[in-house]
Amino acid sequence: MTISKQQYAGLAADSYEKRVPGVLRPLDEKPVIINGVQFEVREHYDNPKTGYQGTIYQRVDTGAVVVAHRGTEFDREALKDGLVADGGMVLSRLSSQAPEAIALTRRALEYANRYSAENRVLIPEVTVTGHSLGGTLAQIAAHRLSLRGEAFNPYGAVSLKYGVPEGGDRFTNHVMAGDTVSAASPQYGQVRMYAKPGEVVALTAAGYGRFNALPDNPLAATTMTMLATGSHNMDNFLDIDSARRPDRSVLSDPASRQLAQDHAATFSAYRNDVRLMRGGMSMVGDASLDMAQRMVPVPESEAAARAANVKEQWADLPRQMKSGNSADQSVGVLRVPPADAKPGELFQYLHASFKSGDQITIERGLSGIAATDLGRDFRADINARVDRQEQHAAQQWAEQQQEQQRATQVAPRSH
Amino acid sequence: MRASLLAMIFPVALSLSSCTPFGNDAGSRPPPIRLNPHPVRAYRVVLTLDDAPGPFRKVEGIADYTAKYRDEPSRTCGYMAGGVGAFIPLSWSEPFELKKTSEDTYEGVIHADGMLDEDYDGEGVCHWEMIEVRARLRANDNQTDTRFAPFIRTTPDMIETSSTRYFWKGVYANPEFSQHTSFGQSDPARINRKREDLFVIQMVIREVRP
Repeated sequence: MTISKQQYAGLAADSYEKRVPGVLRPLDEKPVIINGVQFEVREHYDNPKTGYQGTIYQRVDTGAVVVAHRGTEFDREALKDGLVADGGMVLSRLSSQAPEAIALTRRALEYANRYSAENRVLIPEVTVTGHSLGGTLAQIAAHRLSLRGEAFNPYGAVSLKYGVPEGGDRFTNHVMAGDTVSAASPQYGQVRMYAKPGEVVALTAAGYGRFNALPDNPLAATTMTMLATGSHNMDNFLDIDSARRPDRSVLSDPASRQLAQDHAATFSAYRNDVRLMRGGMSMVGDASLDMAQRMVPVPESEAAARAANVKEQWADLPRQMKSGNSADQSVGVLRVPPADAKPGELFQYLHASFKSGDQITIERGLSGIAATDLGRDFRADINARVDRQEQHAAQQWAEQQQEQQRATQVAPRSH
Repeated sequence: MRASLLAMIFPVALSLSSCTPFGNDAGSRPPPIRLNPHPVRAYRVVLTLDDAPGPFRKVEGIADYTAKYRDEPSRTCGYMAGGVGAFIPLSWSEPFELKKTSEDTYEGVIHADGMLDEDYDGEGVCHWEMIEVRARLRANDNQTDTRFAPFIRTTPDMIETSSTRYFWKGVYANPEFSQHTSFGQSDPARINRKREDLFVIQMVIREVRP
């Protein structure tokens, strides 16, 4: 292997940097040093219309070429308009980006040919990488052009219409156990799972795990892993934490693989639920940011400052969980919330129980919330959704059977 | 209460998790980087061509810098891009003039302390270091021309350093290599061609003592 997983991670992160688009001017060919190995940027492509951005790197010592596809980034305005919440838009962006990602990867192959002709050496290998939806593009390009690659928390390309098959050994996906994006759709290539202690806590709090009396709640789990433990974020795979302080990458920390193995059943139950809930992309179309926001309870008294406030509260949660400091000291952890508790109360209650850091208190807190009206509605909705999924799947299966029977009747096999 | 999982995932994953779009912006976007108005640590760069296949009408020099926290040198200064925890180390590329001093020689001056050390994010002063000096040579001032791109890694404590890189002559003014950049090789054996088909670009960097 000429490129290590840690170097792929560094390049996948680096691809988020804004560079001057087009074929590079001299100034932009600056070095990118990852784990002491020098890469040079060979070409950078950026299309503001589709949001696609990709970068071709070459390892200076070996000549190996890597194409890193950037994950989709959304600006503040798009978020405000609720556009981002529309998963359909995310996927339609992806479909407009895929041809560009393939085209840039083709140019990397052309460059590798020129490099080979120049030095009369073997054509250097071209591989692909990316994070999140950039990882999806990497899977699509790798499959289309028969390249190897590694992705980080990618949304699996298998469920999209690019003919990408599940599994195989040409591609490696590094995923955080609590990451929802990478759980939502089947992956092309191998999956290597890593876990952080916070993810185990979050999933346990959301009802997952053996001997857990609470009902499994994938949405609560997602809310916690995405917001509190930052499972989807690229920094998990870098030697740096979300506060930009030195921190060991999960890629090189054996404990993170071990933790994922130790809780394999819990994580796989959660990830299966997420996949079930993916609910076909069509379901997503009717969603809006407002709906997503309603998932995050807001104190009604603060309705005026609603948007900013709820975001701050949740954004602040990881820090508060770490430091043990919280503004809501007055909330009794063990006081069960009333059945008609408002979202704001539930938020504080959940927050307080989490803050205790004590497994039993967290579980008690969660079951308290589960018993409220809101909790019941929430669960009923999830269950109905899963039921519909299962019904739909059963129906499809029955139709397929009928189809096959008809086919057999029309053209009976002759042995 | 209806809930769509994907509707949750993407806004959450892309926006809130590292607090960027709504929280404090320090550390979540590139800071304004300034040149040091009074640099003192000067170095002379001498670039020498040997057996070049033809003239170079466009010769440029570039010094590359990165930054570390002055009081915590193990920590790289940078910012989180895209709201998804993608760490981008701070870097800067400053062009410098390489003047032709003879048929095959170009000279220029750079400063190891060319960038202004500043506290960008309230977490400490970022100290800039020069990490690489490089050059770009083209036969004509034409964007599609093949670029020859020798480079040399630099360290903060160096007094003098040099690099010799070998390039295949056949790339020069060859339309098949339009828009190509040749970084050359430090070992001529790594270019599978006759020695006389190669030319050399040597770079020497030496401290200027006042």
